[in-house]
Amino acid sequence: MLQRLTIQAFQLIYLAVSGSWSSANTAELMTIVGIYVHAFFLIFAFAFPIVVLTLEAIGIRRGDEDYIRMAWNGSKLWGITFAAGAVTGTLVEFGLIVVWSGSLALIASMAAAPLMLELYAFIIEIVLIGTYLTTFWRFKRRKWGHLLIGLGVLFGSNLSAYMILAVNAWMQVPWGTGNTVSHLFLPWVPSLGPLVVNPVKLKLLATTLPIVGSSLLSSPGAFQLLSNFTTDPWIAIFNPEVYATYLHNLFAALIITSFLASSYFSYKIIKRVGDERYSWKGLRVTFLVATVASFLQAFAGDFQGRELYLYQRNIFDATEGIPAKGGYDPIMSILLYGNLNHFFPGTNYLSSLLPQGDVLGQLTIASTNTYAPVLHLLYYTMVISGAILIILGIGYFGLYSTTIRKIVQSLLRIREETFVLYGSFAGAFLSILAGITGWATRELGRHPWTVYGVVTYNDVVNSRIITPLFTGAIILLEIGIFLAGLWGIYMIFFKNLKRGGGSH
Amino acid sequence: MVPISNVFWGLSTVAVTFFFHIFLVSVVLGLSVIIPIYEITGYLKGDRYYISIARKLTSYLIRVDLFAGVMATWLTVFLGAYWPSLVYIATNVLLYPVSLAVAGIMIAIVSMALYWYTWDRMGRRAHIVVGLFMAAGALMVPFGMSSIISLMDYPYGVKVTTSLGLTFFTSNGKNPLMNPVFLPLALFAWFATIALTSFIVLYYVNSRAVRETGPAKNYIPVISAIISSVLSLLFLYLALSRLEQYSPYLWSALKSSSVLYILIALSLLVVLLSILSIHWKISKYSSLTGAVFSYFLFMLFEISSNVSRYPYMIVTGNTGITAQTFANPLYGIPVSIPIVGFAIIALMTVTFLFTLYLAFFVYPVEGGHHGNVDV
Repeated sequence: MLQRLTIQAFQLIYLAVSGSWSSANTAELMTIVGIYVHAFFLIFAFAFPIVVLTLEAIGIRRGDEDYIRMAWNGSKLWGITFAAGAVTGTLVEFGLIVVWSGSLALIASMAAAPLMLELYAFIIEIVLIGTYLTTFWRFKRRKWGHLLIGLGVLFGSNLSAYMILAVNAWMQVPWGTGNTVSHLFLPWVPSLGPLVVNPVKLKLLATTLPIVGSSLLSSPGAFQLLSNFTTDPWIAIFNPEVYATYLHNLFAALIITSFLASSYFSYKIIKRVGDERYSWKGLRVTFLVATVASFLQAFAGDFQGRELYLYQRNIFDATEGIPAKGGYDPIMSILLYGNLNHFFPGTNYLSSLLPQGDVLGQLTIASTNTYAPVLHLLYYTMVISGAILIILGIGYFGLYSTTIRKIVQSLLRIREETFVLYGSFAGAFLSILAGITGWATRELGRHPWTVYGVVTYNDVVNSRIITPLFTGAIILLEIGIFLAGLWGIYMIFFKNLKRGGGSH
Repeated sequence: MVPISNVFWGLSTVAVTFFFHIFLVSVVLGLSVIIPIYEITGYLKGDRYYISIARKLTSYLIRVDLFAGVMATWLTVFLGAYWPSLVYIATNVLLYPVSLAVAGIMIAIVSMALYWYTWDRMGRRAHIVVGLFMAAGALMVPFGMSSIISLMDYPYGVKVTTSLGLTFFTSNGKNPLMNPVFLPLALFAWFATIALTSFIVLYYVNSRAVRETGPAKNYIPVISAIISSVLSLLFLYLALSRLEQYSPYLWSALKSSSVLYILIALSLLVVLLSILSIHWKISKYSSLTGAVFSYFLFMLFEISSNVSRYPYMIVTGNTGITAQTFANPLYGIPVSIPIVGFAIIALMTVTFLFTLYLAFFVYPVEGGHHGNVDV
């Protein structure tokens, strides 16, 4: 497999150097970097409020100012990460409209309602972050009132994330199209919910875009040919795929941010900066949040996997490493069918379902087979990382359980406290790795589709040539923002520590 | 058939969001330029007074910018949802200018956050460099975005082709920044907003001086107000004359409503007020009136020049392409969505203003609570 991966890497470099990349390839590169930079910052807006509010709630409940101070310090991170998250979000949004300008057909149709609701969530979030930070320490009597403002931030950020993920989920599983996708290009796709999208108009869009390209949308008349496109503009919000995706992403973001927070406390303890007792308090809470989220993530991951099996069988085959001719996968078999012997037909079977002349269907199978080794590697990196995170979580309870403490000490020959200290770094690394590989699996697996079974990448890229110079400049800017954001975090949270710190 | 509600709510949402956006963002632009000037002056003169003013202004800038930025996102999504073909044409013809504006947004917000959070935490020179990035980024945004307004006033760089019974509007390869309407519009936006902010800063500096130090060291906003108001008058004149030449429908609409004369009168008044501000005692009054009049000038120009295109969305000489042509015809977007949006924007604006009141009057920011964490 390593050999195949190496060959693929060389093929990609050759394509880039020889100038054979299309606008879609080049644009995709900048989008990948942009999405990951955005994701790094947005997870702090998405899930970190849970950590901050947990600390604040404990502080209020116990009357312990240490926890409230931790919440205050944690909330300072919102300022810099929200700024970087907002700016990279703007970049991603403009990227969608400017570079992938054919996506306007999506924005004007199935994504209109979720995207507009996302705007409202976004403003609630940003205004309440300002109020939360400004009024910190100001509620002398009604401290729960301040926590309530924080819950408003959490509501805004999660509603925002849900709506964005609803759009992404519709791109994975275009819910509300009934049997149209299976009739158009991908016969193995089951019925995708009630038919609320006009099949004639969807077919017109799906078959004309590959011929004319996204410049079709430069004609107002072309849009008018698509009138009466849907009878239910809310359908994307109630896509079963978004329920799984939202939970899976929420827990992923919570695991990453809480492990990063626990790593920060561990770092301070190891470097003997500040009050060790204070840092242990923070470490115990943040590690516990990460542990609970890791346990819940197992269920969310299972939910997501079942959706994949149900709606995107070709991607399931690739991620599970089912051979093209089909094969057995005992773990999946028992999870899905309750026995060990279910035979999973591979992509050869899916290919046999394609009608004559279904070029895009054949392209889908070819793409799945090409990316299968990479997808399998990425997917199992995520799964194995997740499994280790659960083991770390079990080990954490050694702080409270003598039995677990003894097991940890006898297996690893280290003290339980040392396990927790260094386990938080391992947790941070593995959770980030799982997050990166998990999202890559989702997006890479959908190739060549922008909207699975309806519209491809090449159909929606701006009809102007996206040059390597333009792409390079945008990527440099994206990396610059990432580094600037990291620098800001360093200046706030680490520079003072190096100076010798203070006391709380 | 285009649902008529999409035309109405499409125009309403874009109008309201655009109003909120430019109302706030005009001050953001001006402050992004003036604040680094204050810090540089403080550094060169070794005078903490200028640096403390820069810091106070930054605490205001950082709060307003996030709210203004959200409004830009609202505007983009509303445009995409209600006017998809117009947005496609704009992004196709104006790929590079719009990308320049996006790059400006990114540079400005990140450097603004760093500028605020690293105050007194890094070398003064390095901090000034961050401030200059902030100013450059902020200036790039209206520069790039003015190309969209220019395109709607005079569709330079657009190729019209007919095929399959459809009319397509794509790029003809010409540089959209060479649009004759573009440069005066962009430069007017720059200098009008800097003039407006200069008056606001002048008023703030004067009121602070009365409380603390007697006669103010107010020459920075005075000079800035004079230069920028004179230049905004110049570029307003140039912009109007270009509109007369290249966008006659828009010109005649402006002329017939008398707005044209009000704009010129306001511009002259703003220049006069900036010159009067040289005298410290007069400047206490002229700064406030100058701020009000220059705000009125900027908003009136933006609103009237956009409204005057109606019923067209893109003006082509004495006629144009109607708004209805570009409205989303796919389905009627539920009316509840924009109505809820307006309710939320009203509620959040009140909350935002209340937070600003708390931040500046009840718990004024004097530094300390935004720096490094306590360990």
